[in-house]
Amino acid sequence: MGKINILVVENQSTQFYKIKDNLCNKEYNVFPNESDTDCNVTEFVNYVKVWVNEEYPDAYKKEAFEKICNQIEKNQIDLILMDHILGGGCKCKTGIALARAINSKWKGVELPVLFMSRTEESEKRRLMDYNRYMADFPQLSQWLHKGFFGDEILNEDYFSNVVIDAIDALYKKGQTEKYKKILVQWVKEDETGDKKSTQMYKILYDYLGKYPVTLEFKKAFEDYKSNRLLDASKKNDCKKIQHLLNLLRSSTPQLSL
Amino acid sequence: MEWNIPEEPLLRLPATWHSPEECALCFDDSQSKPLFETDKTSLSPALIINPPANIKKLRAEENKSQPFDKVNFDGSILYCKVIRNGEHLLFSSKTDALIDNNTQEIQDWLERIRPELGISLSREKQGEKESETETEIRKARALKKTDKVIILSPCHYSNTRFIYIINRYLFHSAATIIHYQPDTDYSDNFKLLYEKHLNQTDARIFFVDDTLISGRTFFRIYDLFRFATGYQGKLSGAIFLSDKSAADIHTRVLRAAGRIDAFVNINLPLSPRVFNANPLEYEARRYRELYETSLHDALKSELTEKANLLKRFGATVDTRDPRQKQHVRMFKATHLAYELFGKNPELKGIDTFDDFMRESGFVCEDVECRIAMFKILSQYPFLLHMTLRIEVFRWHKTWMRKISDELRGIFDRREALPCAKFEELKFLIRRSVFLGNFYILSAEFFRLLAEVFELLEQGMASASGIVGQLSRNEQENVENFHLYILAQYVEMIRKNRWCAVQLVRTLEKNGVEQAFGTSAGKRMIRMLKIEIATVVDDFYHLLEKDRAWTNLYVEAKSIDKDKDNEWIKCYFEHNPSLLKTPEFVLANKVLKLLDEKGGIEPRFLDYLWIKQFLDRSREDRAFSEISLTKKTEAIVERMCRLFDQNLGAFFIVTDKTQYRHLVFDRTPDQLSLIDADALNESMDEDSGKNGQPCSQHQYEILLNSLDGRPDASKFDKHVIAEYGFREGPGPDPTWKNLYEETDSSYKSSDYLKYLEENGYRWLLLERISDFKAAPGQVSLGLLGFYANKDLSKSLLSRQLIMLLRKDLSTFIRMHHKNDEFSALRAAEATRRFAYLAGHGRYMMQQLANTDSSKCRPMIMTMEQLQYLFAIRNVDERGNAQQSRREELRGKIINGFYTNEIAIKNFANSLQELAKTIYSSPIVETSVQADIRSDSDSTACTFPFSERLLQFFCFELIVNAKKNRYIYTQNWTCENGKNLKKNMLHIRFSMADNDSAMVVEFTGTGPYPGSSVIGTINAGRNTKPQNEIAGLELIRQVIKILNQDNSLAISTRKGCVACESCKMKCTCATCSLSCNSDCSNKCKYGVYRNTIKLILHKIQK
Repeated sequence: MGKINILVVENQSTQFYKIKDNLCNKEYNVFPNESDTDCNVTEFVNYVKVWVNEEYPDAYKKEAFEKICNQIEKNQIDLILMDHILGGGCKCKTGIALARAINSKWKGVELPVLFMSRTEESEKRRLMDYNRYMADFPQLSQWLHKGFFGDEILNEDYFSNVVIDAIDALYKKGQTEKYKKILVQWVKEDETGDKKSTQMYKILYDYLGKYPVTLEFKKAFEDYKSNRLLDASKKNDCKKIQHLLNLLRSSTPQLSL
Repeated sequence: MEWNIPEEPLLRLPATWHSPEECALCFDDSQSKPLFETDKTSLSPALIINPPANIKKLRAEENKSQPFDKVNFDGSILYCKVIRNGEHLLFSSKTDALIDNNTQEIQDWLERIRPELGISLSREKQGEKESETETEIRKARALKKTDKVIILSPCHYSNTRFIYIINRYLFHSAATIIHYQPDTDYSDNFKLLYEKHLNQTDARIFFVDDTLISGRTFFRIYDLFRFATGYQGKLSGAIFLSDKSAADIHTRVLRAAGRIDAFVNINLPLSPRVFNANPLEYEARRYRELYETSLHDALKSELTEKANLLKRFGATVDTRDPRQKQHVRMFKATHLAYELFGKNPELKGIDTFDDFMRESGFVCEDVECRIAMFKILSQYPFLLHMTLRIEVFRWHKTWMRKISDELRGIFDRREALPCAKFEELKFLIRRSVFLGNFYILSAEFFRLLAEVFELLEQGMASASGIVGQLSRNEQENVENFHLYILAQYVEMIRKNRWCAVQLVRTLEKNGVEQAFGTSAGKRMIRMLKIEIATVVDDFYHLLEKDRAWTNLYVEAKSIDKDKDNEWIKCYFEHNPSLLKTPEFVLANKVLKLLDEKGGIEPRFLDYLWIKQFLDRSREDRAFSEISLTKKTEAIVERMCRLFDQNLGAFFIVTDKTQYRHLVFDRTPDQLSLIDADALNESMDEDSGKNGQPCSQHQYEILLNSLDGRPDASKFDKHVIAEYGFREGPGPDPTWKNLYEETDSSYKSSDYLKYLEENGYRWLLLERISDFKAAPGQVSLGLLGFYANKDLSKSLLSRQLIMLLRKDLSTFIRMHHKNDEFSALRAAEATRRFAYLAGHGRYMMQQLANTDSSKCRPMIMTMEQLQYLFAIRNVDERGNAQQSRREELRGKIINGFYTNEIAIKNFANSLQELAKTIYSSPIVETSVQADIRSDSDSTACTFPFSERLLQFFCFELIVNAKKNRYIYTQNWTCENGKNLKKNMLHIRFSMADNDSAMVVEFTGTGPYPGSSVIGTINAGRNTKPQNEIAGLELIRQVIKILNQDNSLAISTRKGCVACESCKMKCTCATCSLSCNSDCSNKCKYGVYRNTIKLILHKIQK
């Protein structure tokens, strides 16, 4: 554990493996996995192709979408690296539509999506869709081109200098947003009851934007989240939140994810 | 030596100076007087101080001619524009008709003049004294039976009948007729041929012609006659059917010929040249100038139509034209007016117009006659006579007041406006412009106009008195009334710029603008407020004369967005007197260009910068090193600043084939909102239909504006359109067309919806028309501005962007219809090639680089072809010349050697190639498939380039693989089997008597989509950005080789009985008979898609 789980949605197998190579070198977990007997890389790409192509029967498209979502759930995906054009010559849906469908399914805990388009040339074509997407899922997406330099695509230097940084930044933003949304939910739940813990949640919420989220904090938060409902008396609630606050305040950018 | 002699006036006259904007003599109806204007170069106005010339022609009873009112002119006077002897005439005389109508009268007239033939006119009648001896000698010269009569006449088809009559009835057919054509016959021959005849002692020579107008023909022949007779010969008389000459011409001819006999004397005006042009030419020039300065296409159309009408000389006469009657009335009125001035030049005892009508004898109850008489008195040449103009101006004021009262009465009584009254009003408004009656600028008149617009909307009563049942002509007059009024105001401003100030003041008066409640009225006011801005042109022309201004940016190598206005500011600081010139003072009063501290309005500085930039850009003097893209950006960004707000904007231009290009698209956040490819989608799709965009088109609103489709009024075309997101009748705000004066909310198109989603609340569209073509007919581009708040109140901004339309039109014509734009597009094409290297080709290169790759030669061919297209062919829709395509064809044929392809062997080799491609993990993934390749061809070989054919087949196999059917886990075929297998069948056959080879690639896959099928079969590109790759590359190559070559796609469901083969079809997957419902879309989704390639033999 401790690695970021990334789902790469890319219909060109050569490009998929190139991305995977670039990411695996940096110790990320890349999905789909070749060894997955339920849905390997080829099958996953097939499901994506079926879903984006409007001409497949609805039943098959539904099945394909379920398979895509299974990948996300099963592998606890933290971020999606999404290609823009996923279909062939037909007028297919794009990666933006797929990201929208996925994030609409998990409304409230949206996944950050890093879109990767082949070149800037497609900018005008996708901008309208992308702007709409940005309006619906603010903060949680970014657009990068695939780093085309002369004859090469997905150049390694470009990847390590630009794409990796973008992935990290987006991931952190995604985590922060995720915790913030959970805190907002808790504040709503506690508004009529425990005013002290509500106050603590609000302070924690403010800190989330200012301090980087560390692995330690992440773990402590997940523990607190799972025990929170079980601890009906909420005796040590404030102490636990205080602990989270301390963890966050003591974090430094170097230690962050 | 110092010159200090004071200038002393010769004559001191009392003078009172009035400010042109405040002058009560102009703008106060109770005190107003006609304004006699001078132009910039003369000190005295173009005026004739005397009343219209005293007519010195003899009265009818004196020279025995037929009285004017007893001549039947029916059908002989036709209204049309003709040029005779360099004179422009409004009437054409039909001599035959005049003779036919008056045969008996002409015979009687000839009998009357017969006794006096040859006797020259008494000198007393010519205003001189004559002795008794002289009288005797004169009478002794009467024509004798023994005299040899010679008729001299110009050679023209129209006078032959009249000459025949004269010869027969007066000279018993004994005269010698000399027909001479001054324009074509050589004068030397005249003397040679006719000298003997003319010099006979007993020769009596008469000049005979049907009409005398300018006297030019007469004098040319007369001069020759005098020359041939050694300046000794004399004419015995001149005989005309109708004498239409002016008084001076008449006198000169009389002195030369001794006597003039004319069947009818007609008084027609002199044709004074106005500013060195014939009156009609001057009129056409005036309309042209108005056209140049006006800002709206609708108005330009109206003015062009008028100018063209004037220029249509010699057009076929339409006797059904309603103007025929009116112009014959004017013809008669002119004669009678001259007769009256002959009798009573000072108009003594004539106070009102009614008096004038009565005295002239032009008595008619019909208002049309009053209009005819008033019209001739208020136009050239009568308009030039000072005393008459003063009177006519006074009569016009009275008539104007009368009709105003009548119209108000009709409005108050809620009656229908009679058609005749409406025409009378229009006539008087037009006369106001001619006479300079500025009453029509007053608030009182504007309120009356508002009432008239309301009356028109309620329905006008036709000539027969029935409301709503108007003739087509009347209907058009009502519909275009706002344009008519607008044209009058524009002309008035053109004549006197200070009228613009008056108009601004009137429109600012409380309740004036609000009085206009009808849509036509509002439209007129809106257009007028924009047209007023043309006064700025004068100031700009002043700047253009200054070399320092034109050279302001000559040295500029770049555009500095923030500092460029400083140059202009600096220019005005060095030339402060410019801001005190009447031109600027006037522009400032109309547009308010100075703030309270005297600083120049920043928007005006931006306007001047753009104008200067566009002008210099046209001359290619300044900014010559700046690219077209940068220039376009600079212009549009500056135009955004005219609104003083942070705006988003776009700029679409069209090329020669009206293909649309998005050359600028930027939101305030530097994003783009428009999909450039989609702009042309509808045009392509609809070209074969009815020319209308499909209703679902996301840019319908833009395309309507760009193509100038009529707006909701159905009459005007969009030039400027504005939309606002406002409260509507429903609970939520909606987009409304702010110029559509109806309450219904504008239907929300995709583009507006998208603007709304991005937080924009206002959109302004401005169409740029091609002013070289018919106005409004050809669109060159569309500018759009949008903002997150309503800017519809910003009048100055709209005025300034409308003033820039013409310059933008020139800019587009210069830069987007020529080689510069082609070069830009060529660069784009090359860039596209570079982009192509990035994606699809990456996979191809990998495939080529694998060991023992069979695909390498095909991939090399593909790269060569793409390279050729990128550098040799810009775009077939654009400015690429035909020669380029020929050049490209040559390159392809020479580069890819043609040989005799053994078809069966080739088919077998393809099967291997297809298996390699399907099993390759590089082309997506390894895929199982049934692959077959066979040939039904009767011929063994086919002359074609094997390399090209291999490449086509390779590309189509890769295509088939990429578009294969993808089977999900739960998929089963209709027969319950689970064979998840694709198929590819390649089939060769011959067509057109073995002159063409057909290659079909049938593969299983999902339905390709009707739009894709339509696009491919229509020969259009399915790729974005016009990339030349895949099917498009094949199509381009085969079409260059032979236009009859084709590439098409067809599809059929895998498991239905298809209509074409009428046989039970089989499941595409398991090949068993199908059981599914044939009438619906295949529920299993497997289709057989066929790409059919028809190739003809390559002929070098």
